[in-house]
Amino acid sequence: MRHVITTGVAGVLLALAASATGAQQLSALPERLAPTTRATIERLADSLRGVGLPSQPLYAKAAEGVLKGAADARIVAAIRTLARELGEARAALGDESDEAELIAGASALHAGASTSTLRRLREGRGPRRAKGALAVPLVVLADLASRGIPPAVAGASLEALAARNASDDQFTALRAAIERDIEAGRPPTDAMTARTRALLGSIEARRP
Amino acid sequence: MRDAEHGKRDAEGENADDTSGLEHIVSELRDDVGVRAAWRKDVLGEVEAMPRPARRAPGDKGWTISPPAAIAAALAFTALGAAGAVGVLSLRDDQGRVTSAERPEAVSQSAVRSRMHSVRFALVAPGASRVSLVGDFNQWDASATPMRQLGDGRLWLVEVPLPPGRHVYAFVVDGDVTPDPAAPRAGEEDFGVPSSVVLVGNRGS
Repeated sequence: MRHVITTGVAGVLLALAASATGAQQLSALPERLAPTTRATIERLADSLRGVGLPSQPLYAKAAEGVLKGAADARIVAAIRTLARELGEARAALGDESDEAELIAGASALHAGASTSTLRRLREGRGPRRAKGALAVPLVVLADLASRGIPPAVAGASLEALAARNASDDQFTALRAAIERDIEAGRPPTDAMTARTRALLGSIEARRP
Repeated sequence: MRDAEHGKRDAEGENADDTSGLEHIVSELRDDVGVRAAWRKDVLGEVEAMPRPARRAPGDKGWTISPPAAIAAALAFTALGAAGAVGVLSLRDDQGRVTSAERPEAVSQSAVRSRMHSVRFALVAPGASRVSLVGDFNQWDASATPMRQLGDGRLWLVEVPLPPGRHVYAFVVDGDVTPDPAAPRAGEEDFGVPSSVVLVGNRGS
């Protein structure tokens, strides 16, 4: 019995330690940043919190900039842009959006997608979408736009798929297939349109 | 002896594919934990020297509640321990292909506040001497999450518990930041070097 309890206690401690490590939230700014830079970022974070937007992405962005050797001015500029895009993403995706959707939406906007694309993706998922249901399409949209596919083309393709209830797995598979096509030398727009057409055809064929 | 065996396995693995790294660590994890013979003998000797428990008389119920608080504490402790053990076992329960950031089974941890997911990150980096994982979950600290070299030395692996959500990350290979070649890009390349993104948790579709 003593052995069982000891094992159990060790399990609790390990689980809690693992949780603490994984759930670590960024609430402090890197020390390398100048005091004025830190004060600016804290003000921006406060303003996001004040309107109910997640502020944690700002701290993460600052830490990322420091690791990648960016100057303070560049870090602040990136954080200002991110703060604005988080607000735009919520306006487009709705107040019911979760944090992952908002951050993914902000990334998609940053990569060149329009707020109207985000809005249409939301509409495609329906008024009663599951929590986080837009996260995968938005991550795929940001990825495709960053790989050279015109955001309007990527957006229109994903909107069409969302309107036909494409699953997360189908969005993920589409992204991977397009990436392979581009690496094989196919022009990005051609890859996007051909793969989307094929997936749309497959979805239509399975409809009763 | 174990090091020598590793060296042998490494040499044999020169022409193996990437999955040899996973097989290597699986077999390593399945190795018996050795117990020194002298230690085993001492423990068994102490057990044999302990007095045998007295036989219960007829009608003796065989247990007492004394003191009740100790019994309650032990029960609570055991329940917590079981919950924690489930969590730890789940964190170690990832099997299957080694690709990049995987989305494994949900981890049931009733003893902790949030549901954590064990996510495995892997990178094939031949010739690298040091690889670490950085991301929004470790404050982009290159020293926080070093990756472990496996198999023939080309595969680097680490497994971290992450809360549900979208996480941006990259690898640091001998000081150079590089995105995960097998994962979606984050979309925002503010600092010149792209990052990757992983979605953790069961999301709606």
